[in-house]
Amino acid sequence: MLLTFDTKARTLVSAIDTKAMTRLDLLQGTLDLLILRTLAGEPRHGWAISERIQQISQDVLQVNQGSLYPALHRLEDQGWIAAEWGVSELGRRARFYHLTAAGRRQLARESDEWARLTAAVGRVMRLA
Amino acid sequence: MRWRSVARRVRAILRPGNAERALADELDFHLAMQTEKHRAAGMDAADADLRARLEFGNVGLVKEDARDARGTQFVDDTMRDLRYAVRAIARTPVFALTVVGTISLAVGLNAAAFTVFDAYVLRPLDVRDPSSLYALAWLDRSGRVRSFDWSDYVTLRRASPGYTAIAAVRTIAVRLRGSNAVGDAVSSNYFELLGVVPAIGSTLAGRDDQSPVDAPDVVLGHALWQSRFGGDSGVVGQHVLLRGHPFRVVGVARAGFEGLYKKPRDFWIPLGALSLLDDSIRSTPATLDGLSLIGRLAPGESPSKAGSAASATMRALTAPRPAADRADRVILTSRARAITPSIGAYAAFAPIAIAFGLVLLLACANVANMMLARGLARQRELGVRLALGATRARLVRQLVVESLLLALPAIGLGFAAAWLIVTFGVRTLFATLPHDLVAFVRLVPLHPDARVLAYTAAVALASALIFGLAPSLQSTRLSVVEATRGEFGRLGSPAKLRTSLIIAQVAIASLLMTAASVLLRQSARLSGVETGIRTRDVISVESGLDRRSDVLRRLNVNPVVGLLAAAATPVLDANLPTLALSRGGSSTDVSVAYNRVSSGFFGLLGIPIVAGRAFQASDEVGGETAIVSEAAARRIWPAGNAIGQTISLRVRGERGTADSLDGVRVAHVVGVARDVITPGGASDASIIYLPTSPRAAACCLFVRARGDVAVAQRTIAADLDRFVPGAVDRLDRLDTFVAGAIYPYRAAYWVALVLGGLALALSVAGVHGVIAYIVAQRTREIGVRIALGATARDVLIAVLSQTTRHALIGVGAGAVLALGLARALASAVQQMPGFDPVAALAAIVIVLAACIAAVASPTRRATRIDPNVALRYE
Repeated sequence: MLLTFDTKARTLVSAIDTKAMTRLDLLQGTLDLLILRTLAGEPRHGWAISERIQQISQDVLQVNQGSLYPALHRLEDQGWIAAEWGVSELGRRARFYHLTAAGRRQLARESDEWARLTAAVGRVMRLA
Repeated sequence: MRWRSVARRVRAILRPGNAERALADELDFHLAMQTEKHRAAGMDAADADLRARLEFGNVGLVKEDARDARGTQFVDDTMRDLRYAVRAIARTPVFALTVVGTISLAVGLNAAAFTVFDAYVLRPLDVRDPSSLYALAWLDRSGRVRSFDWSDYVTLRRASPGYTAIAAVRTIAVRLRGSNAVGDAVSSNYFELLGVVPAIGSTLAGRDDQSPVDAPDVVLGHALWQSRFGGDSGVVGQHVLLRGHPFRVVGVARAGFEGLYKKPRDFWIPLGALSLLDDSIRSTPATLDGLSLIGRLAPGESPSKAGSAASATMRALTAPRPAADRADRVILTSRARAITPSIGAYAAFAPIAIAFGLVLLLACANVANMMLARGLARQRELGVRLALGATRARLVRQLVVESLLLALPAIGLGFAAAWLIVTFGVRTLFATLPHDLVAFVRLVPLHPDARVLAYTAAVALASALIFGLAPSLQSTRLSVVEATRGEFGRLGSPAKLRTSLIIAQVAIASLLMTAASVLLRQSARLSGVETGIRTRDVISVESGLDRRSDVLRRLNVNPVVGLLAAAATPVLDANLPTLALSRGGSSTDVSVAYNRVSSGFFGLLGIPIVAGRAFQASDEVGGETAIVSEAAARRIWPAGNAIGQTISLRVRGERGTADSLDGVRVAHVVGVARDVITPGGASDASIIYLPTSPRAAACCLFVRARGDVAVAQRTIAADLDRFVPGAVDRLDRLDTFVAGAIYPYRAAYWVALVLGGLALALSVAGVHGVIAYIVAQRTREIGVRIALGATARDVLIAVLSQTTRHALIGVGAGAVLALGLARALASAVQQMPGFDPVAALAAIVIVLAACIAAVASPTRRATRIDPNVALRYE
């Protein structure tokens, strides 16, 4: 579920926009969704995932590395993504993550949830 | 959890380094990429690196979170617990050594007892597929267990489809190479049925049961081959003399096979050869009886089905016989083990198991007490950890790991202790046995093996966990606030637990000490008991009838032989048979034990004739005379003179026995003999003596030795072996039997004494430790009391009264337990007194004295507390 809070504060995803010096605290699970979505296209390593999120969000979302790797390992543990060692674009050994079938299903589920949530929040913002 | 993640976790647990390295590589790569990115944006290398690291944050923290996310944290924590436990144990090495030592010793003792129990009751016989082996026996209509004769065997073997094979066995005792040996005469299929191969040579396989031959075969037992033939492989083809007949050694059974019975066998001969050795068996095996049958059930066959088939066969077979000899049913008993597991077998081991188990319990109580004290001492540490956020589960896990760490060395040490105790016990047994008994005592091999190790491990782990953890759990049940303030005083239950442990320890110690002192008095009483028979210089000589006259001739000319007499049943050694007796003119039968003795019997064994006369030579052949013991006279003629009375006798011998008393006979009582003790301690000393001759069948000779009896025994044995080789089956000193009757009590006494002493030592240590601990805990309180005017005497009384109260409760409980146990034992073991108040009182005094001694030094310390020092304490 998207709207459950983890009691362990450290696993809360926080994205810090260093330029604007504003701090966007994302709900737990949002980072998971972003990672799954990023991997939907092609396998990437951890750094590329964070770069990709930052790039697509036009630097609004900067993924805290302290949250990225635990999240990757947790997703792998849940069987939604899998990892294998490959060679990066610069010729270094890197760990590439890709979506599993279960991960695809999970991405679909979470995308729906996300759409419903944002729609609901949007309605409240407009109509309340 | 998906199997892939399971597999990864297993990998992570087995090789934590790999996962750890992979994680480090991954994070390194990220940093490198980030640095590269900053460099590409125009930073110099050092700045780019610094920036990347700053952005990344705490690498260690990230790693830890990643590990957490992977679920391998458990392994890490356990390793940490282990390290912590090792440190905690290393900090208090004396405590750890005491706990490990206590558990090891107690577990070792129990494992030793288990080794014996396992060897006799649990371990299957060392033969092929022992679980399908069954012993057959048939019951007649009065429910008596009967043995089979040759025709029964042949018919059953032919007509029983439920069995793969049936073998017949009859046990025989002879002298072999100058000492006593027990063997089995067996049917030709015996070894094949059991799947026993020879160590060297061959077995009896395929040799005909029917025809007695001139030099029949013998297979030697492995132990006998080792001890009396020095393991010489040249023994095959040699001849050994059994009762004077040469037997050709064809082979040696493999090591580990010692027959199917509790007492290991020394040799095996074909059934057909029995007629050479036994007077009562005529030349054809068809007259053989007294056979035990061993059958191997066909696969898928149930014992009850096979049993009812055999019952039908036996009923049909015995239908033509007299009513008393007709079969009712055949019963099958598993022969998978040396002792058939039964209520009786377990009951026989129960007192031993209880005694050893109690010592273990005592040791565990000590460990629990130590753990409790340690738990209390560690409460500040635990409190601090609770305050720092450790959960109670986490602390309990820590304590479990510590307990397990203490249990592991205890397993190894306990196993080693078991091995030592068994070895030492067997050595001691043979060293302390009366010399002549050694030849009769054979033990099944006692080696602590994997089963014993498993038992040791289970017991050690259970005792360390239960008795290490229970007190620990209690010490984690405290609140953070109290613990950090150092207030533990309000924890009531550890004190209660401690008190009950002390009481239990004292109770167990006094129970075991009572057992030891009862057994001591019992063996002392037995060694002082008058048998009524002159045993000290008498030697019994058993030999077959066919060579009896030669034996008698040699004995008569031997200068060490003083007097010579004979009896049908060896005195002291065997239980006397009984006969039905009716007084002249009366039709009611009474059952009385009887023996047939020669004219010199009473004189030689020093049994006084209190009225009438002894047997004379004229009685020996067909004399219709009888002598009764005093007890028998009182019983049969309660108010009257036995002399001159007439009695009719009916012997209830089994079919085919060689006793010529078959049928009804009349005898006149000519004398009354003084009572003697009867074998097995039967309370009734009634015996009817009937006359017999030293030349009669089934007779045991008695010789009174001149000079030293040991020398005389050797002289007679050498003389007989030289001139009538093999004629003598047994040659024993009578005092051996007396010693043999006392020895079990003496051995039981020593075992009980060792256990009791150990229990006492453990209790003393436990009581001492607890009182010392309580005094240390109450130092401040006692200091305040002294400061307020309490004298040393008040303190002394306060400490002692508490201890004494606990000790008295414990001793009382122990006495009650001992009383109950004595009742149970008295009904199970012959000659055990129901309750021995002197022994119980002695035990109680010893235990109480030990308790007082145990608290002496802590009490003294309590009285010397200096209030100034005590109040500054902490």
